[in-house]
Amino acid sequence: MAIGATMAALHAFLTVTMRANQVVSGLSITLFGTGFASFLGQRLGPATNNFRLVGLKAARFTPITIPGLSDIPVAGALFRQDIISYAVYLLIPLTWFYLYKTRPGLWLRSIGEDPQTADAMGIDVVKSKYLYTILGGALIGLGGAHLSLSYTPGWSENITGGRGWIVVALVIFSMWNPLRSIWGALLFGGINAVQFRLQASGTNIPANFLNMLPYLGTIAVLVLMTWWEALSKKIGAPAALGVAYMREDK
Amino acid sequence: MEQASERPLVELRSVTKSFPGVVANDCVDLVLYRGEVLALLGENGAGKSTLMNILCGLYRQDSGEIYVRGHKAQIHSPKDSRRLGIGMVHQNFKLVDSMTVLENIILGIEEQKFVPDMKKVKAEVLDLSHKYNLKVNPEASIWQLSVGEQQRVEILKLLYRKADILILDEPTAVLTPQESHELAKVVHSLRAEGKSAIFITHKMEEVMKFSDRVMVLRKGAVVAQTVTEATSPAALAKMMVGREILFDLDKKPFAPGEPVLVLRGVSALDDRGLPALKDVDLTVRAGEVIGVAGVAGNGQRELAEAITGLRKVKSGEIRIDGKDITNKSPLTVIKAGTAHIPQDRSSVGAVGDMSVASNLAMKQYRRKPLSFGIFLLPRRIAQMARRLIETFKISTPGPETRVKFLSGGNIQKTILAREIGACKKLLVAVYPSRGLDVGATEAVRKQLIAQRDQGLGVLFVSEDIDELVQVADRIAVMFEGRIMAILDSTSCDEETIGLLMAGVKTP
Repeated sequence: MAIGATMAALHAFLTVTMRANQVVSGLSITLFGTGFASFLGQRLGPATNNFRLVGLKAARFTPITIPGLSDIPVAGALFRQDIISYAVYLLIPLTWFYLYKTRPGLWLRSIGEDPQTADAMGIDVVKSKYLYTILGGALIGLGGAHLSLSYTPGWSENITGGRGWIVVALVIFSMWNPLRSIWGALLFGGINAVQFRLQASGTNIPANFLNMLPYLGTIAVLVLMTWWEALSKKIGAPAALGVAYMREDK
Repeated sequence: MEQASERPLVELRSVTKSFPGVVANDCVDLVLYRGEVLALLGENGAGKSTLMNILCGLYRQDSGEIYVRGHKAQIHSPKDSRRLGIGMVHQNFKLVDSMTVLENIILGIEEQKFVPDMKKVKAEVLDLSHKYNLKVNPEASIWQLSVGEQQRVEILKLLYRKADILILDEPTAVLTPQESHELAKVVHSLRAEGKSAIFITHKMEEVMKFSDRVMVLRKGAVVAQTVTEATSPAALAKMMVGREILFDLDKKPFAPGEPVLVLRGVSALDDRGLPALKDVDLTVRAGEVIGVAGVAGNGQRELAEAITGLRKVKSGEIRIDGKDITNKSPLTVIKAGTAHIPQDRSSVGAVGDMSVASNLAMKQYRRKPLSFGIFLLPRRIAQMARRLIETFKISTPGPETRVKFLSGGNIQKTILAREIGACKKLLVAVYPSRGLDVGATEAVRKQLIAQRDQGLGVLFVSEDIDELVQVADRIAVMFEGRIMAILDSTSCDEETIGLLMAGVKTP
C-alpha cells in the first residue's frame, strides 16, 4: 500500500504540478513498476535462491470463515474470504456514501467535473488532487497485496496479468459509481471463473483462447458501454477527466 | 452613499496585471464604499473581468495593493476573498453542470456539516429565493436550467454565502428585458441592506439604471470616473470607445427572393423531454432577415438546434434551399450552405489552444484560396485573418495569438467573423450580439444586414426588441414553443411584441 501511495504521489506530482499528460505519466509509472517489481522479485525471489522469501508463506492471509453465514448455498462463498475481501465489502458502501452524501465527497466530485468552478468556490484543487491520487494509489496497492498474499500466495513474474487494465474497464463499466462497481466486479470475476471452469472441465477449446476470455470480455464491455453512453447521452465520466488544471490558464 | 469621511470598503491601489502579450490592467485605482453600486464600464478586452478576477482571488496581481475594510488584504485564493465577504457572478457561470442547484450552492462552504443537511439548505435557499424573487427549482440539475435560471442560482449562491461585496460580471448580457428589470430590483434591495456591488457592463442604459458611480476602463487603464447622475449615456459611450457611435444602419430596400428555409409543422422536445417546439411553421426567404423574438426558454434555442441538425425533431419537415434536411447530420446542414452562430460560445465554436488565424480559417481551410490540395497556405490564411480582425475589430495582439487569451467578447467576435465569412445560403444567428460592446454590436448588426443584401436568408434570434426592429424585416414572436405571430418590422410597435412575448394575443 505504501508503495502504491508513493507511486501515486509521483503520478500526482507529474500530472498536477508539472501538468504532464496523465496517460503518459500513468503508462511510464506502470512500466517502471513492472520492471522494478521483477527486479526485486528476481533478487529476492526463487530465481537467485539467495534470498528466498521465506516469510511470504507465513505472511499470507488465510480465509476467515464466518460460521453460519458461510453455510448458505452459493452465497456462502461470500463469507469464506480473507481479511482484505471483508475490508472491501465495507469499503464499497463507505466510498459511495463519502462520494455522494458528504461535504468532502461533493468537493471531490466537483473537482472532477469542473475544476474551474471548484477553485472559484474556494476549494483547494491542487491539494485535493494530491490527496485523492495518493489515497487511490494506496487502495490499488491493497489490490496488489491481495493478489500476491492471498489470491495466489507468492510472487511470480507478471503476476497481475493485466488485471489492472481490466480494472480501468471496470471503472468505466460502473460509470464511476462505487455501488455499480459491485456488478462490474461480479461480471469480470465471473468471466474469469468461467474460464477456469472451462479449462478444468477439459473442453476442446484451446487453453490459450480461454485465457484470453477476460480481456475479450473487457473489450466487449467497453464497446457496449461507449455505445450505450452515446445513445442515452448519459454522462458517467467526470467532465474534466484527464485534464490538468492551472488557475491562470484560460 | 458616498461620504468623504467614511473609509472605503474596498480599495485597489495601482493594481497591474499582464498576460502574455497583453497588459490587462495598468496601474488601476478603484474605491468602493458601503451601500453603493459602482459600474465598471468598458469595451470588450478593456480589462474589467481581469480586475475583478484579481479581487475574487482567481488571479494574482503583478503589483499593487488591495485594502478591504481598511486592512491590507492578501487575496491568494477564492477562499480568502470569500472570507472577506467578496462574491462574484462570473461571466461564464461557475456551476457544475451535472450537480443540482442545492449542491452547487453549498459547494466550497466549509462550515457545512460532514454530511450536509440538505433539507435545511433547501429551506434556507427557498427562503432567499422567495425574499429576492429569484425563482428556481432547487432540486434541478444545472444542465437542465436556462441561462437566466442559472444566473439566479449564481446570485442565490452569493446571498447564501452572506457576501456583502458583490461583483456582477455582465449580468444582464444573458437576461431578457423583464429579467434584467427584476435584477435591478434585486440589486437595489441589496444596496438598501447596506451591501455594495460592482457591476460590470458595456451598456450605457444599465449604468444609468443600476449604478451610483461609474468608472470607465479603456485598454486596461482608468480613463474616467464620475457620479452617475452627473453624466449621460452619450458622454459615457464617447469615454468608453474614444469616438462617437452612430446607430443608423444603411439598409437596402426589402426585396425577398426564393425561400431558403422552410419549416412545416415542426415539433421537438427539450433536454428534459418536454415539448419545446409545437407545430412551428416558418419561412425565411433569400434576402430577408427574420427576427425571432421571445423570452429565453420559449423554444428559440431548440428552433436553432433543429434547423442546424443538432436536435432531432419529432414531427414536421425542414427544408433548406429545397433539400429535405429533417433529422440530418449537422454536416449535411452545413453543406447545404448554413452557418450557425451558437448561443453558447464558450463550449461550441472556438478552439482555445489554437491561434486566432487558425480559428478563423476553420470552416474554409478545405477550399481555395486557403489551401492547395492537402497543403494549407499560411500566408493566405494570415491575410484573411488580418482582414477579418480589422473588419470585426477583434482586439488581439496579432493573428497568431491563441484564442484563449482573448476576452469573452473578442472570442465571440472571432466566431462571428468565421461563420459569417463561411455562409452560403442561410445564417442562423442566436443572440449574436450578446456580450458585445457597442462598437462590436454595431459591426455585427451591419454584417447581418450586409449578408441579407447579398441575398442570404438570415434567421436572427434576439431578446433585444430595439435590435430586432432595427435589423429584421419580419419578426416572429415565440411563446411556449409556438410562433404567436409574424409581424412586419416597419409597421409593428414594441408594445405589441412585448405582449406577444408574454403570450397575450391582441386582436
